[in-house]
This record gives sequence, structure tokens and C-alpha cells, in this order.
Amino acid sequence: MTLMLGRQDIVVQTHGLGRLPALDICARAILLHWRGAVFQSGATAQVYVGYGAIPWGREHEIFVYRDRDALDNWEEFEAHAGNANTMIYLLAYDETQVTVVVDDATAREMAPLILAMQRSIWNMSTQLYPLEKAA
Amino acid sequence: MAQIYHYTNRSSFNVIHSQQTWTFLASRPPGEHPMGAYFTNLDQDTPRLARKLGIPGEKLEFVLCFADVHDLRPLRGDRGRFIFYSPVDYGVEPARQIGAGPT
Repeated sequence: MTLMLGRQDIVVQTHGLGRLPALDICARAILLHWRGAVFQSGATAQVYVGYGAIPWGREHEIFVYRDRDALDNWEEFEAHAGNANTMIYLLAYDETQVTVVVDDATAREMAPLILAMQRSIWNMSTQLYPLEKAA
Repeated sequence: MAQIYHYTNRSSFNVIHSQQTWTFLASRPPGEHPMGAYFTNLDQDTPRLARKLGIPGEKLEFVLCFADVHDLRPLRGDRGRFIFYSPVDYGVEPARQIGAGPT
């Protein structure tokens, strides 16, 4: 067995918002469900204490942990059955899409989060570009 | 020349490395990912590498590195920037092999 890939990739279209606003919206949507979420740079592994500390202009990848305990668990053990669905990996390199990487998109605690991200991006895009959408 | 890496545990490493032509077997990964043999262009110094690949830490114990000939497919989505796969068993002949061993 030479398996070298795990988790699920959900590609969310940005609907004209662009990569950075969409990434920001995804983070905010997660925060509505995970009030104690902790963010970590995918490029440097720097941990950001609080949403306001994230330098959005520089980040293309963000790990979002459910809370501090989840971050500590991942830092010590990496992926294992006990910390499934406690971390979301967001990537945004393309202006047209954000990729949301999760353990199980159908899990009870994860499905509403993914839907919230998709809805938030959709709602924001229709507020910003209503005429173009209607045309 | 770009390099491609395959990370694995000891038992799989021993099987692959014992062959003159390294053969990476295609298999069905979890989720909705296509069946394949999976690789990355991220080296072992990449921060939080296991997390990016979505694999347990012990899968990073060993690595096989070979020259890229641009015949692998990118994964759908942004992880396709650094995760690639072959939909069928993938052979790497000695002329392309760069190095292998513990990480």
C-alpha cells in the first residue's frame, strides 16, 4: 500500500469575489460555528491569536482549528482518529475558487460549516454584483 | 530539474526500494479522490507537511525522490499545486531515481 493522500477536497467557487475576500469570508463563517477557532499559517506555521491577527494579504493557506486544544493535539500527534473533523485546511491560490480540505464533509459537525462557507460566499457575491448576476 | 517525492512508512518503503524500477501501486484513497498512486513536489522541510497531504505523521518516515517528467496529473483544487497522481501503477526507472531513505 503506497497511499499518500488523505482528507477530502471541496472546491468552492468565489463567484467573482476573488481569492482573498473569499478566504476571509470562509474564516468568518467558520468562526460562527467554532467560536474559539485558532488560525495557523500554512506557509510558516505561525499561529495567529484571534481573527484580527491574520495578515490576509500574505496568506494563501490557513489551517483553522476548532480550538486551542485541537491545535495542540494536531501539533503533538498529527492526524489520527481522535482529532478527526477538528481542523479545516483552507487554500486560495486562484481568484475563482477556494479549496476547503476536511476529514469528512458529511460528518454532522462538518457539513453545516461547509454549507455556511458556500452560502456566505454566494450571499456576499450577490450583494456586490447583483446587476451582473441578474443580467 | 523538478523533483517529485513519495512519502511512506518503512514497510512500503522497503517494498518499493527493493525494486530496480520503483513501482508505486495505484490504490483508492479516502474521500472522493480518484484512484491512483500519489506524489508531491513538497520536500520534507515543508512546514506541517503531513497536514497538507492529509496523512498520519508515520507516513512521513521515509521518502523516495525522483525526477519529474511532467506526466502526473494534479489533484483537483488548490492542493493540485503540490499533490499529483498517476491513475495507474507508476514506474520510475533507475535513470530518474534521485534518492531514497529516512526523512
